[in-house]
Amino acid sequence: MQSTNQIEEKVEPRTLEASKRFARAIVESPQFQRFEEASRRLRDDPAAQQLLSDFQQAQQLQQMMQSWGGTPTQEAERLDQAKQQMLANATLRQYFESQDEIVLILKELNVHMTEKLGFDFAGLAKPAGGCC
Amino acid sequence: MVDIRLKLAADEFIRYLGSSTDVKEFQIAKGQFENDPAIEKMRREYTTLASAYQEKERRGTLTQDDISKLRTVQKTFNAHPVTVRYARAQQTLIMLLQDCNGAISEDLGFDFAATAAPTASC
Repeated sequence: MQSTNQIEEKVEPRTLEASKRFARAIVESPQFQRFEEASRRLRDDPAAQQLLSDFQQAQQLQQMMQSWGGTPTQEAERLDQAKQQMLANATLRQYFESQDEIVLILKELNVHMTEKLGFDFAGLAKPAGGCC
Repeated sequence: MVDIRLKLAADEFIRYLGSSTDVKEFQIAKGQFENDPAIEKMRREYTTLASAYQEKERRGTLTQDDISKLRTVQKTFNAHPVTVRYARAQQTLIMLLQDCNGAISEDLGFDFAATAAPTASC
């Protein structure tokens, strides 16, 4: 990501200021505040972090088994169990709910921007990445 | 549901972004590209040749002449001033949008565009 100084040299000041005010409005929105709070709780909750890590490991293992052409019944069960444990945890549940909420708001904002600009702002501005 | 304050801030950003030179140039170039009769003719010709190319390739009857024809149309299309202007304007626009996205993302702590973009399908 570029620093503000690098961006300042290229973007018209009023556009840059408006983009900063837009960012500030997002940061101050109730949805973003809830996401920040949920993220903070997750950072302060080692048990929840462990459950998340267990789930991610189980997910990686299953994907690896699938890419090798295996029939990962055991891994699927392990993944399902890790997912259930993860979703039963209040900290993680709150984190995922607030994450879904902020993602939804940002997607709605992008739809609104796309309608007004006539091109997909986020679609064009996002970092180029591989498919799947 | 997006609240009114957020929408107002987005509208202000859109207004300034939309009035910038790079966005205006992109919109003009895009309009020209979409409405130029010569470009439209080349696109139709390319589509016809490309589908014939695929069909012949499938049947194993593809000739050097077919390949040359397709390449020539593609080359003429890519070198046409209207295409060149549009491609350049798009590149400049993307750089501007990436810069704005950088400024927004810096304050959010994550990539705004990567999060807000429509989910890509493979």
